[in-house]
Amino acid sequence: MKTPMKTTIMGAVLSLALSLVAACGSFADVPESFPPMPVPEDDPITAEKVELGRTLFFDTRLSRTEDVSCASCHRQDAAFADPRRVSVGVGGKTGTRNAPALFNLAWSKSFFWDGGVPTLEQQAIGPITNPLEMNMTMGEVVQRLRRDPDMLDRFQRAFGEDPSPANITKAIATFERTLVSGSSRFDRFEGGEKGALSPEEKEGRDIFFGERGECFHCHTGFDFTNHEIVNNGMKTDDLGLARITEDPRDAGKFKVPSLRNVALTAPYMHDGSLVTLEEVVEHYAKGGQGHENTDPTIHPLSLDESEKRALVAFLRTLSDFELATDPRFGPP
Amino acid sequence: MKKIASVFALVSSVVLAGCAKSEPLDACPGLPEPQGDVATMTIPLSLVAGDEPASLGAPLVAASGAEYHLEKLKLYVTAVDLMKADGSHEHALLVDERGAPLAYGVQLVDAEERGALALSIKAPRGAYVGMELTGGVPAFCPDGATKLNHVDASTMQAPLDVDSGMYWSWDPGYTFFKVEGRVDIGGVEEPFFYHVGSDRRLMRIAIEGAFQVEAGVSTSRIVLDVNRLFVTEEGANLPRLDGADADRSVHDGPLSDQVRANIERSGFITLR
Repeated sequence: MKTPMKTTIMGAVLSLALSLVAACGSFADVPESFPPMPVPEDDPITAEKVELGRTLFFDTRLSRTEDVSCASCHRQDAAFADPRRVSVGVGGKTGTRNAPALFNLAWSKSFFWDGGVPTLEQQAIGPITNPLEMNMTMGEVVQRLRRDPDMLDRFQRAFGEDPSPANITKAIATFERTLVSGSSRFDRFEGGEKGALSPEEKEGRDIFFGERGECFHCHTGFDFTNHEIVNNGMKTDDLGLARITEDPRDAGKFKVPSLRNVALTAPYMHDGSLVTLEEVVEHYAKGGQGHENTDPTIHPLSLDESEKRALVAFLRTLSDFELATDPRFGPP
Repeated sequence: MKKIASVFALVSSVVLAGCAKSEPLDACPGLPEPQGDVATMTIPLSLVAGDEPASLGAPLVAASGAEYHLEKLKLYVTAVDLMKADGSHEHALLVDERGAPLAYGVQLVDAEERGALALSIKAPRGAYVGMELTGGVPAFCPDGATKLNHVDASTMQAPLDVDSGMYWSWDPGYTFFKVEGRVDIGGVEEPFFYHVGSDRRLMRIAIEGAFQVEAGVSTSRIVLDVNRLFVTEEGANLPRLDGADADRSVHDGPLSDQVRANIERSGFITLR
């Protein structure tokens, strides 16, 4: 039998724990199979910030020509990736890399293909100020937003202050943290619904997680990534990680992306040069294209055509159509 | 009771472990405060190209004979020490013209400031034989624990603000120095830019020259000879301002190392 003292203390403990959990993740639907969502202490998730961040994500005023928003290159129906090989910024300018998909970012350890940015908040600065993307200064964005009475009101409600570079990036990062993806047929299968995958898809799953395909070496864990930065056999002049480290041994190395929603995020690789999942599987089956920094785990695989088809079929089970259609993540 | 405390500790540690901590930086802890009989002095700063005055947009001639003009020249300066004849030194605090400490103890020398180019310092009065200063933004504040170079620039105020034009968003940190412009190559004006950044390229620049610290405007002047950016300590014309495209555009790598070395050791900054 509990004593009143114990009951009081236990209640306080539970109350504190719940409030901390609420601060970390109650605004996002985090599946039970995922670890707790990490949220920076100085950028807790609140309903006001999520909504403000969503509005900013779709707001073309963040670009110089007022016709490019974050959502222009991160389309919800493509799991917030870009179906184009490379994205198109202000004035039709193009970069050299394929826009990455946006989901489960709260668990990411670094951002951009070469992993040079440590936080979601800092990441948001990049596209806004990149001359090839939105080509603004943060100060110019602040000025535009401060001219909008509705925005002033919303920033006041979310932050208790007017728009600033810091709270703009915090709001966008907060919205992006709520883009949680864990509702695929694969997840239902892993949750015990054994009929969620067809026999071919199950075979593909076995290849993926077994030594036949060896995909799991890099695409592992709840988000199908080990968060490492490697060369996956793609031959490229892009410096990749070496742009950050200046070490030639890091040339051509890029973040291992999550494979969740991979059927929605074509084209593939850092440069969008592979168009279909079949091409991707073929790339790995051949052991890559021969980059000098190719990761040791990449080598020719002896997969027959049936096995390759099964692997692709399995990859298609990772699609989360709730993420791709949820109106909470769409235009406000 | 012990069990409840354990549960509390466990729950707190698990939940808090999930919340990464990141605080905005309002000031740089550990900046040395000048001691004794101190004065605030402004040292004018000017640009030259060899023996000729220089400014953004003006036609210039490099030591190699290359004809060029500058469009940008910016350098972060911090950690100024004043050297005495006996080998000792005094810390100087970078301040504004009214004597108020500069944010984070850092000044952005920007050639666009034109007539207002100067360093203002608060330091003990007296005679000195030179100064040392850091070119760039150190990884940490003087307390050795507070990050400075790699913070979230959107939370910082000038001169380390996100719109300083000196922030690398793809590899968060500041460019320590940048010079950009155009050079005449076969009658065609081609662009050049040299950027110096990354912690390992932080510069410590020693400047010889006698001067006196007293209140007001110094009779000495800090001179930046832009031609010396393109001349090595040994006198070679490197990097090649009128060379191939790869010789004229650099964010990092060996050419960036060369520009850093030139800034430190080729007489880019002198006291006259």
